[in-house]
This record gives sequence, C-alpha cells and structure tokens, in this order.
Amino acid sequence: MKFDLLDLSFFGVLLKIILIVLIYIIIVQALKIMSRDVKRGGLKNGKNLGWRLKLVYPGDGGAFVEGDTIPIGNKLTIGRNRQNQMVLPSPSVSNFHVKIYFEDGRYMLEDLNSTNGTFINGVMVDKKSLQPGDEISISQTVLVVSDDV
Amino acid sequence: MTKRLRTLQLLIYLFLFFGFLNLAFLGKPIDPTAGVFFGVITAIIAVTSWVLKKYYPMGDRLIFLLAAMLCSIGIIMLFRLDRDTAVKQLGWLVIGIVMFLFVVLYLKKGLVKYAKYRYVFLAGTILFMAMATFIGVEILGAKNWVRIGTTYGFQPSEFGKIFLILYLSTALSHITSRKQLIEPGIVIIVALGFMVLQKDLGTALIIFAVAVTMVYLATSKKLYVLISLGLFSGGGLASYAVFGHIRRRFMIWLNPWDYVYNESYQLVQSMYAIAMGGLFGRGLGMGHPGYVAVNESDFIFSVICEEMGLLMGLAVLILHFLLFYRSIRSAIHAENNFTKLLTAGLSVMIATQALVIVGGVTGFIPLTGITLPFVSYGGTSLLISFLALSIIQKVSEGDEGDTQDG
Amino acid sequence: MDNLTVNIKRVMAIFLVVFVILISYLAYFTLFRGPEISTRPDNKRMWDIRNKVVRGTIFDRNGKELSVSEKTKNGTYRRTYRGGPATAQVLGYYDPQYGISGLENLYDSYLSSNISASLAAWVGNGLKAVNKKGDDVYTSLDFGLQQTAYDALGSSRGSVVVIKVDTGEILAMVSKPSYDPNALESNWKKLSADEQRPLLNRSVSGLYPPGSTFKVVTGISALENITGMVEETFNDQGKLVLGKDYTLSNDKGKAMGKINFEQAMIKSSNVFFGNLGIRLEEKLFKTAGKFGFNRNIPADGIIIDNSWFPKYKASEKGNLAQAGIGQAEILATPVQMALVAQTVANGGTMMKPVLVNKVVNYDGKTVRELKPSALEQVTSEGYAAEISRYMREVVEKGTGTRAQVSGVQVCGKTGTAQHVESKTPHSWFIGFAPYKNPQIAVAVLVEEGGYGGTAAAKISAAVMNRYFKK
Repeated sequence: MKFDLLDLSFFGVLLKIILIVLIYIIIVQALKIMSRDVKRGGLKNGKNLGWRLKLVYPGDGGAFVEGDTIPIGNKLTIGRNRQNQMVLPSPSVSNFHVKIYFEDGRYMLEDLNSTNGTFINGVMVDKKSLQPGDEISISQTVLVVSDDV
Repeated sequence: MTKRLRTLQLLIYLFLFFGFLNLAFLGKPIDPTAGVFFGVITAIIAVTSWVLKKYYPMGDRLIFLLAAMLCSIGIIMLFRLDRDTAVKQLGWLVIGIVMFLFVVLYLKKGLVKYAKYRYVFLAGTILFMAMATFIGVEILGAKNWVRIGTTYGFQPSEFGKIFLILYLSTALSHITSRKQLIEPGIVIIVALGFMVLQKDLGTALIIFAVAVTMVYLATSKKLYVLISLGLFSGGGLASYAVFGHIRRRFMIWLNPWDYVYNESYQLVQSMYAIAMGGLFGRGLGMGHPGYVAVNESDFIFSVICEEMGLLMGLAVLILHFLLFYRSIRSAIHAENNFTKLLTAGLSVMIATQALVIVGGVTGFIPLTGITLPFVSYGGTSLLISFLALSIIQKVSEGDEGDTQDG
Repeated sequence: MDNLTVNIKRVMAIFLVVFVILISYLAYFTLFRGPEISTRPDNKRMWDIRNKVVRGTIFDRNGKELSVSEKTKNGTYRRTYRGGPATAQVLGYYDPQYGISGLENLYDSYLSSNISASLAAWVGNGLKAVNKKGDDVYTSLDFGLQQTAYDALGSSRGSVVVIKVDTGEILAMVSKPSYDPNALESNWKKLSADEQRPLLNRSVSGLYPPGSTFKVVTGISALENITGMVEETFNDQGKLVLGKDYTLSNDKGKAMGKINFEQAMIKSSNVFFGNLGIRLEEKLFKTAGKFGFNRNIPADGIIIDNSWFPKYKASEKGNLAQAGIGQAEILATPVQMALVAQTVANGGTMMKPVLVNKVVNYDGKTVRELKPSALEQVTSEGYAAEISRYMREVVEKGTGTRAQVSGVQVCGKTGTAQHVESKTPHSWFIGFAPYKNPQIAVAVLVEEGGYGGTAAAKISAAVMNRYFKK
C-alpha cells in the first residue's frame, strides 16, 4: 500500500497518529504505576519494603514520644509483655496484643486475641493487609503506616 | 502514585478528545454529537474516579481506568460505525458503572459471607446455562439468546458464567480430598454440555479455561489440568464427529481461502480488514467496515485494526493483559480462599474472552462468536464485565470480611 | 491451599505467554501476510480503492490506446478494451466482478496508482481532492502486427509471438481462441466453462511438444559438443531401429540416403537428429536448460510458464532419440520457442522478453522505463551463425518454403509435433528475418494444424510481410 495523502484529509492522518501515540503513552503511564508492584513482587524472602510505623499519638506509649518512627522489619510484635519488640505499658494493652508481619509482598496486621482489640482507620480488625496511611489504634496509642523509606 | 494516576486520567481525556474530534470532522457539517459524547464519557470517568478515591482511597483505581480506556476505544469505534448503537452503548456503560459503584460501595460487609450460598450459585449456574437450550432463539448460528418481549433479549449464558465462577469459588475453597471434586466436576461438564447443545462454542471454551484454572489454583495439581485437557480434546473430537457445524468451523479455520464467498466469508472479510489496515490503519471513517459482519460486536477488533491500525489493535490486547494482571494481582492480596478464587476466576474469564475472540477474528484459532469485553457493543456483555470488575475492585480494596476462613 | 498465591502467579505467567503469542501472530499476520492477502481478487476493499482512481490507459508502441477507462452515463468508469479480442489475453481484463488478469493485473499498482497529485497541487486546489488518474502504460506491442497475426490464425486455435531480436520487446502476442473482453459479463459463464479455454494466454501458458522446431536446440548442442559435426556424414535409411519394437522414422518413412548435418536440418531428418539425441544424452539436457527449459524465464509484463525437458538416462535410448527431435515428454510454450529463434538471430544472446516500454504518470513524467537487457549468452556467435545459415536454407529450399516473403531473407524451422496419436499433429514454425541483421523473431503454433511447413509457415509469412511491407 502506498501512503496516500488525499484519501485521508490532513486532519485524519494527524489524528490517527495522535491517537496511536496517546494510547501508547497511556500504556507506558500505566506500566509506570504498576512497576511499583512488580518491584514489590520481585522481593525475595527475607526482604521487605522497609515501611515504618509513625507514632502520631503516644497515649501511654512508654518509652516512645510523638513523631518517633518504628521500622516494621519482617515482623513486629506489640504488647505489654517485655518480650514484645514494641512495648506499650498501658494496662488496656494485652500482653501479646498484635503482630505486624511481611508476607507475599505486603504487610499484614493480625490481632492476637487482645482484650480491647486493634483498630484500623477506626474499624476493629482481626487480620488485614496494611496500606500506607492506615491509622492503627491500640488502646490510646495511634500509629500511622508510612512507606517513606 | 496519585499524581501518576491523575496524569493517566488526563491522558485518557486527551485520547477521548482527539478521538471524538476526529469523529466530529467525519460529519459534514461538523457533528456536535461527538462533543456531547466526549463530555459524557469524560464526566463518567471523572465522577467514578472521584467516588473511588473518596470512599476507597486505597483501592486500585488503575483497574477501573484500564477498563474505561477499553470502553473508550469501543465507543469511539461504535460512534463511527453507527450513531444509534453508540448511544445505546453509552446508556449501557452508564448502567454498568452505576452497578459497579453500587457493588463497590454498598456491599460493604465483605464478600466472604456469600460463600455460604453454594447451592444458590449451583442452581443459578444450571438455570442460566440451560435456559437458552429450551426457550432460546437462534442468532448467527448459535441458540444462545432468550427473548423478552419482542425488542429485548439477553444471553443467559453470560450470567451463567458468573454463577459458575461463584459456585466454583465456594465449592473449591475448602478442597481437601479428591471426592470433593466430584460435584464441581459434574457441574462443569453439565455447563459445557449445554453450551455445546446451544452451539455456543466460544462460551464453552471460556467455561473450560476458567474451570481448569480454578481447579488448578485450588488443588495445585497439574495432573488435573492434564486430565481436563485430555477430556476436553476427547469431547472436542466427539463433537467434531457428531456435529456438522463444529466440523464446518474447523474446516473454515484450516482453509479460509477455499470458501471465500460462502462459509468463511465473515472470517475472510475480517482478515481483509486487518490486512488493509496495516500498521497505522486507514483512519477513522476511511475503511470499509461495512464488509465485516457483526462489526459492532464479535468483529469489532477487525474494524478497529482496519481504521485505527495494527498498533491500536495491539494496544487493545496490551490493555487487556494489564487489566488481567492487575485483576489477578488483587487475588494475591485477597485474604481468604473464596475471594482469591472468585477474583482469579473472573480475571481469567475476561482475559480468555479477549484472547478467544481476537484469536478467532484473525484466524489464529477457530472462530467462535463472543464479544470482546468492554469494547464490543452489547448490554449483557458490558453489564457482566462491569459486574466482574466490581468484584475484582472490591477485593483490591482489601475486602474486610470475617476471617474465619484463614 | 497455601500454594494458592504461587499458583496464581503461575497462571499469570501462562496468560502472559499466551498474550505475547497472540500479539506476535497478529503483528506477523498484518505485516507479513497482509500485503499478499490484500491483493487477492475477491478483496472488495481493493476495488473500492482502485475505483477512486481513473485507471491509467494501456497504449501500443505507436501510441494507440488499447485499454482505456471511460466515463459512463451514471458517472462511474468502465474499462473499454479497444484492442478487442486480438489483445484479450495478453492485456487481460479488469472487472470488479470477475477480477483482474494479464497485464492489467501485473501492472495494477501503476494503473491504479493513486499518488497522482502532489501535496502542493492538493493545497493549491483549496484542500479539495484533485481528480486522480493512474499511470499510463506504454507497451511494446505493435497493434497492427498483433491484428495481422490474429487474423492470420483464422479460425484455428494457437498462438503467435513476435519478438524484436535486439531488444527482446514483444511486438505481438496472440492466443486463439479468443473472446471479446468488452462483453465479459454476458459471456462469462460460457468462457469460464469452455473446454478450449479462451481465457488462457496460450503464448505463455500453453505447453506443447515443440517437435522439429526443437532441432534448432539439438543442432546448437551438437555443434557445441561434437567435434567435426559439420563435416560428418550419415546414412539415413528412413528409420532408426532402437530395439526390437521401437523405431524412429522420418516423415512417411522416406530414406534420405547419405546426408550431412546441414542437409539433415534442411530436410528435417528425424533419423539424424534422433541419433544426435542419443549421442548428446545429458549434454542436450544442459543446452535445453540454457535456452530456458525447466526454469523460470524472467520477463516483464508477462509470466512465462516453465517449459519442460526431462532428464533421461543413457539407457532410455528411445526417449533420448525422441528428445532430439522435440518429442518424448518435451513441452514448450510458444514464447519459449520464439526466444530460441530470437537467441539464434541475436548471435546467441537471449534477451529478456518485455511487454512494456515505459510507464508515464499523470503529469507526463516517466516513472518506469525498461531498457533492453540480456538474459544469457546461450551459445557462441559462430554456432548461432551456422544454425542461422541452415535456417535460411530451410525457408529457401527445405521444409519451410511457405514462410518466404518476397524481398526479405527469411530464416526458419518447421515442426510437426505429435501429441495424441489419433489426432492431427500441431503445426509449428519458428523463424526470424532478415537473414542479415535480423529484426524480428517469430514463433507460430497452430493446434492440430498438421504440417508445420504449411499452416504455421503461412501465418509466419503473413506476419513478416506485414512487418516489412507496412
């Protein structure tokens, strides 16, 4: 086929090329957004995303003060018992209250049958995956999930 | 992330703008309806994105945007083919998206609680799969339509597919022994049987792909996949021997050029359309989609290739793959087996449908009449696609249900 | 069930592979198979594109319009074939219903070329489409000669090919029975079902045993391969006994006595040439190959079917002998035999046969010009001259006297080719003229025309007469 300027008005040629260019820019843009997940999926065992918990309201936070950040690592346990990685001395916190761990490319929060429960964005949960910006409430203490590495 | 999504959204508006600008100039004088279409579709996408962002900030808005992009390409093509069809499709799109938002926003409690309706789903599957066999009418060689009154009709097997996936998700979510596979196995075979009776081979193929994938996901046994493939080939050979129309399909696929004026007319015209389009297409309004049968539905891909080029055709396939990737990825993040299987099943359904029809119209595999999800014209098809999408979207948001299912 | 996530990833990978396969197929289909598929005659889209262009005109070498597109009352264009039945097969037809054939097909991309206006012309016309016109094709045909050849064939079936000796230009190419391309619609059913196949261009696609005209090739091969050939004598007793139940005879079994090579050619001795066939064996196969047998002869504006010369073993004496006289299973197209004559006339050099001289676009610019090109030096000038001399004598005093044209020294070779035992043999004549500085080479075939020295030679005489006496 020979390229034909007359069959298609000048606009037609221009527009069909614009449309094709645009659709591929859109695909590239979508891929850019997705590349985050691919990176995440590519993590090997033992590696995590390096997310942290940011203390926005310490409550009876023991040694912690507002603005502290606590790296989650592969696993973080929270409770009143001193064996926990993060110890909250408040009496309304259970001995082994909650654990947060990295699995299948995401962070999971699991309540360990605590007496007063764990809340994410105000909803009581047993087990849930975490997203950046989620607000975790344990007794008076409020932590926010942060993906600033 | 949000910023990139916003850029993506703007790019989609830009695409729609240039698409409808092109369409407007096809009319003499300039066609203002194109402007209306551009406005309405842009508004739909903007509002839906806003609602998703407001109520589910952590949900995967990319899934919706990918589907919206596919719908946009479809409606641009439909607008060029026939104004009335495009208007109807726009109506269906609005209904589909309203339903999508309804499922996403109001079924808040979590999907897993529906897992207990196993036998409701089973009944639904059999009912819808069987329906057209008894009260169906024959359209384009397949008896898979049910008429309601004189003007309306729908394809019950489309609903049957959803019920089957729901049923399989419940039935397979607690598989521990082989015995538990017998019931779902029978249901799958019955569903396939009805599709063969209705001569709806496309749907049969999709049901098969979905069922095999779900059984594999639930059992991790490759052996079952091999057995299924064996049974399917056996069943295929048997139907080849018994049914004339299956033999004809096969023959057309092998030698399309021997029957250009008769049996393979549709396929050959579709191949011409794609061949003539070349890399960049002939331009909107410059091709001859009139030669392609059912150009608004089954063969819309060929028409897209003819007028918008191979590159646009490939883009449709890439978008479908990205949609599939993104959908099935939310299955990984789902918190229980029921939702995992459900999401995976629905993702596979949409992807297989795209593969089967595009493979069919290009002569890569035997042609079967099904729609290209989100792109083809068709109320049932669009509603089902959006229904599936809403469930996937919901799972992507971290479906917070009871977690008795671990 | 713990593996669910892993399994989902596997499914993802499988689908990725399937998508990639389909994308690759689609790209392959469109880019590699697409162009070939698009040009299939039943592709209506191609016709729609062609119909947007006023199809170019086909001219003869003197500027006479042969096939033109004319506007009809309802504003559409219709192809009119001014050349009529005489040029029907060689130029072909162009019809949305019945497709496209002959030169119309081979030069379609020029005739329906739609880049007929530059961007500047288009802008100059206020961005409105300029009337588009395809390129004109100037053929090498001489319509007067073509018509003469057509008339000379009369009611016989057969073919006449006339080639310009030094350039390879095809001056005439006739095939009979013919048809009226202007009345394609009303006759189509009859034409396509006709057992005589009027739609077939016999000149390039008809395969016939060449009979004694092939002795020119055998002769060249003998000169090249047998030392002292010219001096040799041979006692022709009218028969060549090759075994208990196989003999090769001269026409009517006539014994020619003691003859040499020259006399054998003039009198067309089957015994002599049959004997040469056996002696030359594989060498004759090679010579035939150099003349174009068993291979695709490059050409422009026509597609020549392969002529056929099988390879016989040394033990197959009967076949070897038959091959020496152009029988056995040897098959040749008329244009192949015309090229044999052209090669001998041109001092052993075969020219590429061309039907087109130039292609001119809408504003008079020549977009394609064909210069004469040599295909192969088939044999030496000396051998060609030797055979030419014999061919001159064939017409002067041998079997081809009926091909004589007064005032022109015609050279030639007759052939009477057996095909089906019960049927009258095909009548052949190949030749060229004048003897010195040859201008045209001719091949005439008359199906079931009997003696080559009669039917075919007469037609050659008529054609040459027209060429030299116009």
